[in-house]
Amino acid sequence: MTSAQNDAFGVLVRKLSRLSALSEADKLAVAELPFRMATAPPGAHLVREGDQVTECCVLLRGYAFRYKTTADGNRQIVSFHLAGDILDIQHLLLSRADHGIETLTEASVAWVPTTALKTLVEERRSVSEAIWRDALIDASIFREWVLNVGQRDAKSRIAHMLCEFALRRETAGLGTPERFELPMSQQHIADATGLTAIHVNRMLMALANDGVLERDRRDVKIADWELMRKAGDFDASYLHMAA
Amino acid sequence: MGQASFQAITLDTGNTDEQAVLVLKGGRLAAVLSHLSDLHGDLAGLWFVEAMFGNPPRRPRHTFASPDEFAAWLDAAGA
Repeated sequence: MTSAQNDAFGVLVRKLSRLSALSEADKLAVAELPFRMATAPPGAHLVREGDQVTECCVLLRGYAFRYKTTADGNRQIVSFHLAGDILDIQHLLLSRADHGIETLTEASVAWVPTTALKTLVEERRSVSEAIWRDALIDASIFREWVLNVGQRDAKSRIAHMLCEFALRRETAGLGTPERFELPMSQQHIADATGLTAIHVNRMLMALANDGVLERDRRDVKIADWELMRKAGDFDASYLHMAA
Repeated sequence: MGQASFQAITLDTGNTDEQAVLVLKGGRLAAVLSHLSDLHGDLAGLWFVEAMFGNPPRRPRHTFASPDEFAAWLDAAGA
């Protein structure tokens, strides 16, 4: 193993360590996974629906999202992802991609052969538990998003999405939840919340007028976290502390 | 369904996008369009479909240059 290889998976090791107590040998085994490194510009398709997949995609730097589209091409973003996330852990056992994955920003990704990842989880119980927990928390986030899009009003949907993003960003060690740069455009937010970009713009303005957030282009400051949490009907327990 | 007609109305949006028209076809309310204000930067001055009624095609996400352009789109869509 080279030190470059060890460094590459540092962010993944840290994430898996938040999900399960990994021994030093577990961490070394993760760091020694074979991979193919790639960088991608914003808007790059990492996986397309229908692809036959033989490698899992680990996001090492930047932001990405998962999405599905209707037959007439309308896109629903189903989750946002940050460094350390395995973007398609389902491909460990399901070989056909049932949705697409795209970068939000310039990103670095490591493609890991599913066979190598499968061997790792078969041989190491703690790593297996971490990946199980990750997949289950993914499912919990999807359930919360269904609730968000199906039952909350426009302003709450956006506030909820921003709360989740801020908190996950903090948990991943990417900075304070109070002030951050939004990697997504208003169209991305619209596609994640089932709204139009016009509505998103109005609702961000309304949240600013309510004193909940301040923004300057993509720089967002949550001016009052408690108000923001209330506006978004946000209860972080569905993130199970580790996401 | 006949020609579309437009009736000016003020929307209670809580922001500056309050100038709007009701789009009527055959005397029935088919859609509500708002005239986008300066709130929307480059899109200011365009028309946004707030709501559609009846059995319309999916509400378009794009904007229109005028209510007439929207009416033509609605005709082309067969609504």
